[in-house]
Amino acid sequence: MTIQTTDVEQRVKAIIEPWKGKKGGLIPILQGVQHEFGYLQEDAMEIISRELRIPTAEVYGVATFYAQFHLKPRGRHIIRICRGTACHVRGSLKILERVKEILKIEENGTTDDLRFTLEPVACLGACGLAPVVMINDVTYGRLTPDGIKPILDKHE
Amino acid sequence: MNNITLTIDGKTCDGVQGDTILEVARRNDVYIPTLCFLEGLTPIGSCRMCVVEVEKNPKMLTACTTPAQDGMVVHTQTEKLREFRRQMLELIFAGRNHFCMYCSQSGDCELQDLAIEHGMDSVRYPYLYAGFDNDATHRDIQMDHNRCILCLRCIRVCAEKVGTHTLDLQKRGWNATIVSDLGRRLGESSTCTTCGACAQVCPTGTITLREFAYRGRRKDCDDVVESVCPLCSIGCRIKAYVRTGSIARVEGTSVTEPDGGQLCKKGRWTLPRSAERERISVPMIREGSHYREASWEEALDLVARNFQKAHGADSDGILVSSLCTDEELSLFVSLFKDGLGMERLDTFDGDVLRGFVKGFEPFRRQGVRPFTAAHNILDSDCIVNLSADPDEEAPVIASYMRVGTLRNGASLLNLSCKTSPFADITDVDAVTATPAQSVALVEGLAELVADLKASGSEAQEEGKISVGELAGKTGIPEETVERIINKLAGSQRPVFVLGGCLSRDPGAVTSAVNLAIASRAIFEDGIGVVPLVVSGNSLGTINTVLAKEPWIGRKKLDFLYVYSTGLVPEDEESLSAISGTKFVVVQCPFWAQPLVNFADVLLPAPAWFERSGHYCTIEGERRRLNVVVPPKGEIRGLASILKDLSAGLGVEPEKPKESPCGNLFASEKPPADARMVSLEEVRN
Repeated sequence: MTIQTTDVEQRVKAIIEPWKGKKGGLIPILQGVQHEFGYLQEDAMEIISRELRIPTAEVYGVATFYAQFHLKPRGRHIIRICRGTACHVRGSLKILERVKEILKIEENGTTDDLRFTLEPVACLGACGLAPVVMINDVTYGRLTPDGIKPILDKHE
Repeated sequence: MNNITLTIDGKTCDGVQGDTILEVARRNDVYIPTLCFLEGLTPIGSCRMCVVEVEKNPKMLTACTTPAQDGMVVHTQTEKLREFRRQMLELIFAGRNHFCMYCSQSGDCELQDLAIEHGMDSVRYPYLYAGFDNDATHRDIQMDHNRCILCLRCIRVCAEKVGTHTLDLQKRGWNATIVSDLGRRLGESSTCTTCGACAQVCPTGTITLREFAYRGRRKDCDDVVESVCPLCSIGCRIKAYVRTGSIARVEGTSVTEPDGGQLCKKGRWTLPRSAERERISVPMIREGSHYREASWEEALDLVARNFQKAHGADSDGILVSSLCTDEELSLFVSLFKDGLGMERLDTFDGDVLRGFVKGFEPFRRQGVRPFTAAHNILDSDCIVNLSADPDEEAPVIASYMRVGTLRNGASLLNLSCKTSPFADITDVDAVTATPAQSVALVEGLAELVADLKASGSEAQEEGKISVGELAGKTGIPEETVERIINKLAGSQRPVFVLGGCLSRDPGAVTSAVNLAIASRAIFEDGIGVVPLVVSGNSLGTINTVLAKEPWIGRKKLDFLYVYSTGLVPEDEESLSAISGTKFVVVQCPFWAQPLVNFADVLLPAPAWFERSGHYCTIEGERRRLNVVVPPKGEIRGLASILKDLSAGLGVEPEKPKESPCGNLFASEKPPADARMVSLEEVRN
């Protein structure tokens, strides 16, 4: 999947437009760009820097400070495996290991076909359902290592 | 301004409303330890070393960021504070690899000094830091992130003083490091200008300059001498560290001045490197294809004989570097111009300066100073670049322009031929195809802006140019011309930076000043124009050696006396004139190629670090150069050489008249009274 450069410029500029000449626009713009492209590409950050007159280093500093921003392409589906205490004692490590094995990726990695990104998280706040996995916005509880594959298969 | 009184450690201290506790303490000689604080940069209070206790306030407050209030009772040295500071130091030491014995800056480190001062003999915390890279990708600057304490001084100096904002902080917590541009290593950065300011302000061994490492710690140096950088027309103040008779490093001085104590890549590197260059140490006389050593008597005798012969035939000339001090320039004038009555004196790149002088002349005749101190760029709300390339001509001016635009919110306009040196931050870019078009643009704008500012209601006079005509003439879209006019008309204090190339046409300089007057670019000391004259003391040559009309290369001469500082390359035109002269005397501290090849007699000269004197700078000040390292061996000062030469010639030098800078910095009439002049006056 390649994105045309001219296309990027137009789309990023459209996101910047409402914030021109105003203060406090950097984070909303970064969020907008990430929403549009799935991650923050370098040329997008360069355009933001030029248009808002914020040095590239500062844009990069903000983008790397917040966990919500990603500088690398992410998968179409985000798998969040809870590694909190409750999930841990109920075997979330085994689920994590199994997902890594099935998808052949490391923690915080993305599959080559950009299908999945795997993110261990500290707690999803659903300890009663431990062990818990979230795929995109759907929560799956009381999982077993064997139960994870059919769920992954449902996501293309 | 309201005066306030504080009690700090029992001492009554006076301050002004708005001061921080630290400022009041320092002014009253009360010591408070600091680490991330650096005078001249925005305080951020991140290192917590300057914490103080204020009575009736339960918290410990950072002195560098807390505003002082009348009646405050401050304690800086309580047991609680000392313990807290020691604890902070321990945490900093545990945060990265701060093992002093492996660091090139050991003994030259503010962190180490504070640890010793606070008796920090052990660290109670586990060393949990991650391993970082030692970024050695840059040719001159090394950045070992393992020694970083995240004081952010480098980021602040890069953003607030240099204006490039190459550096910033990436990530957070344990993983936070200094980064350049979009996550680049320093050597891969596209914005870094290699000025080395980050290394100068680094309190630890994180950012170091390869050349100065192991050349001597700052406090081990035998001497630290303040002088002036001769390399461009700003004349930045420098601090040269001397160790065992050689220059160990060169740094910028006072951070409270507008330039913030920064140096550009020229000053930072050229000056110390020149101390390593091969010197001309004794007089030499050409014999066929090589030089032989000679005594001063023999060499000066030969010079005098050839000089006299040529002088009789009116075929002699003197070509002097514009890096000479006022005193040296006066010596040349008093012997050659006033004593011998010679007309042919000039400086290298004299044409550039002559262009400026001619273009400024109509305004000088009005008694108005047609230019202003360079740092006024920082006070401007609209900075206009007129064919200048500040990053090459005078990089600290480029810093002023960047900081003015990015931090002070000024607009940046570029009215140049073919170039746009600040493309990323320029508001309106009017790049013409030919120099003539860009001059025509400035000329036309002066008329249009004058009309607009004079009074909106007055009908346009006949014969005046219209926006459409101007756009057609210059190839700049009408809309762009309109935008420029609106920016200039709407700004309170615009400032115009004139590139050296503009002065080829004195009319262009006059138009630029006209445009400045039209847009009311009025500063206290003169009209808001900053001319990028060539080098250190170019302004000083105006009243001394600068010829009224160019003579170099106009006629084949029999004798030419060339005085060069060997620091900047000579211009092509002068070199070809030198090579065509029958007998050439070159006086130069270094074996400066290709200049020395043309010499019949070579005379040693003191290098920049062996001379003292004064420069007239475009910062609007007469600045003093000091001897950093006394000259050794056969090297003699210019005064004693010219004295012997004048005896050989049988001439008595005239006493130097007034100082070369005499009338340069004063404006007889208020700059606001300046009126525009017609270009016919200049171009005839």
